[in-house]
Amino acid sequence: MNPILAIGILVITGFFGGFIARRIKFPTISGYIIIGICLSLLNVIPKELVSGRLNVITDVALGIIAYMVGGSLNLKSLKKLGKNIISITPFEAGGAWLFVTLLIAAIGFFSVGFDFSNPNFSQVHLPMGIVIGAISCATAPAATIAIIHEYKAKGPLTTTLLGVVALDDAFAIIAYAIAISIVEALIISFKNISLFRTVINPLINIGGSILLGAALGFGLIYASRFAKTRHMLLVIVFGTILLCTGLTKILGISGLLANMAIGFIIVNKMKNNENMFGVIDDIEDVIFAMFFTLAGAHFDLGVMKVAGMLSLLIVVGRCSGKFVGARIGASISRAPIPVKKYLGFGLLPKAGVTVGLAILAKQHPAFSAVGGIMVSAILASVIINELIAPPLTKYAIFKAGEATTP
Amino acid sequence: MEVRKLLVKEVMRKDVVTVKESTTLRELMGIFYKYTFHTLPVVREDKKIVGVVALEDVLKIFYPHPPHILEMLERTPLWDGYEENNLLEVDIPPEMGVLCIVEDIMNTNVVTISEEATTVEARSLMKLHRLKRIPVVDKERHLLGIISLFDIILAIFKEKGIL
Repeated sequence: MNPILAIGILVITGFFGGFIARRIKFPTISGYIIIGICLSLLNVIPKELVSGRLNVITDVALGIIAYMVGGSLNLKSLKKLGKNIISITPFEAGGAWLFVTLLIAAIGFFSVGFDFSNPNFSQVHLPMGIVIGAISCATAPAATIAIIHEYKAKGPLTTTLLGVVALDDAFAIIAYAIAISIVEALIISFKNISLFRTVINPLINIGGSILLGAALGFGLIYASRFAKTRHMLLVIVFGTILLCTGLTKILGISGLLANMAIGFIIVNKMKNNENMFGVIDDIEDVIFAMFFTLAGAHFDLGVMKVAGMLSLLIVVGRCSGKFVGARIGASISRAPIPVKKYLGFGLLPKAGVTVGLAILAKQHPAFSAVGGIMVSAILASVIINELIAPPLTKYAIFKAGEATTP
Repeated sequence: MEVRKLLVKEVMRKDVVTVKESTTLRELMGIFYKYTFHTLPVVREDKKIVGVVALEDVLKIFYPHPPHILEMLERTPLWDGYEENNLLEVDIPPEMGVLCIVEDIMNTNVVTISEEATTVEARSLMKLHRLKRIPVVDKERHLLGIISLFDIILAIFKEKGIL
């Protein structure tokens, strides 16, 4: 099958998946992912294409996601969020990261068996735990918003929930960049490379990404002066995201952080910046339809015997980490009692950034042997979460007394 | 003189209806009722522009959640939007008319233009930002006037002898 036909199939089938999902009140992304999984089960698109030439879709889509997430970090808005949200977010996200890492590294070492010889704890289970843990920080807002809207929920829990969800994706992208740096350091430290390089490499990776993104961000502000129409602006913005993603691949630094830095510079340093993100809205539907359907197509039923156990560890670790972390954060910031007791129940949906980061991790050389298992496990955990999260969010809103309709 | 070389200062209107940050929702709706245009510059005592308020901004009072959080959420992948609650179902107390002020709902991300710019540049800005009226300011962002698509068309028609 040629790649263009594959992309056409992804977009058209994904469209109908998203359409049906919206009809049955599920997030559009879930529809794309499930259709992608079906395409994989029916073997419609060859595996070598999914994990080969179509990877370019992943890179472009993640560049766009990171740019938009960076654009959500408006310092004026962040200052208005209040101390509860600012305090709770690192704890609930960090809690998920820590619990998932510990569960995969500790329990996974004994219970998740791989079909290759000598799966080493510090080279397989620990790195996998650290990266999946970082990916677990993300929370998807679609399901939460749908429930808040359905029950016209209003109050401190609802406001805190929305604020924390708004910050989580940025936190997850930063956590992922740090996690990959730690994993690379862990792996190279076993190759008798100096401690200096083990420490300095992550710093170069993270610092270099931010510097490149900032430079391109200021460049984009300047270049945007030449755009006289929205179409021209789209060309410049989209071109800069591609340029950034391509350069980071050459330099071996994080494209996610760099694109996020571009979005951050634009939203905070440019007047009248709404169009800089609005033009991306015009094209994101088609790119995300192909990307999230493709992500679903990475699912491999053949590895589910191993990935199934891993997905359960992810679900349990993430739920407990979010719950405990939110409670600790709420106690420290002296948030109202309903926030402290029920916030964790509302933070369980995950889809967009989680899936994107999982596909990116699969492409990383450190996970060449277990990448397929990781992605299948994360996709399975996304589906489980989409099923269990809405009733729990509803429970939290009703228990907090913030639902205004029955 | 060709139309496309017309400067903004030759076309703009200087008698601009403005509001202050402290203008109440009730006063704002009174102004909207009185005039046919529903986008107003928000200025301070020294005429410095600090924002614009449009009829669409009034819809923010129907959002049960803080607008700055919803604006952050808008940047998440495949954001399906947050529809304002059914206007007839919303429980808004009468005090909102005086408790809500322009500062609460105005947009501070203001597109402005210099009076020395050409009408062609003004039209480009309008197309780029999908606007029909742009405030005209000096270097210190003091409001000098306002230019609309209507003003530009009017100038073109006069130049061509249509009017």
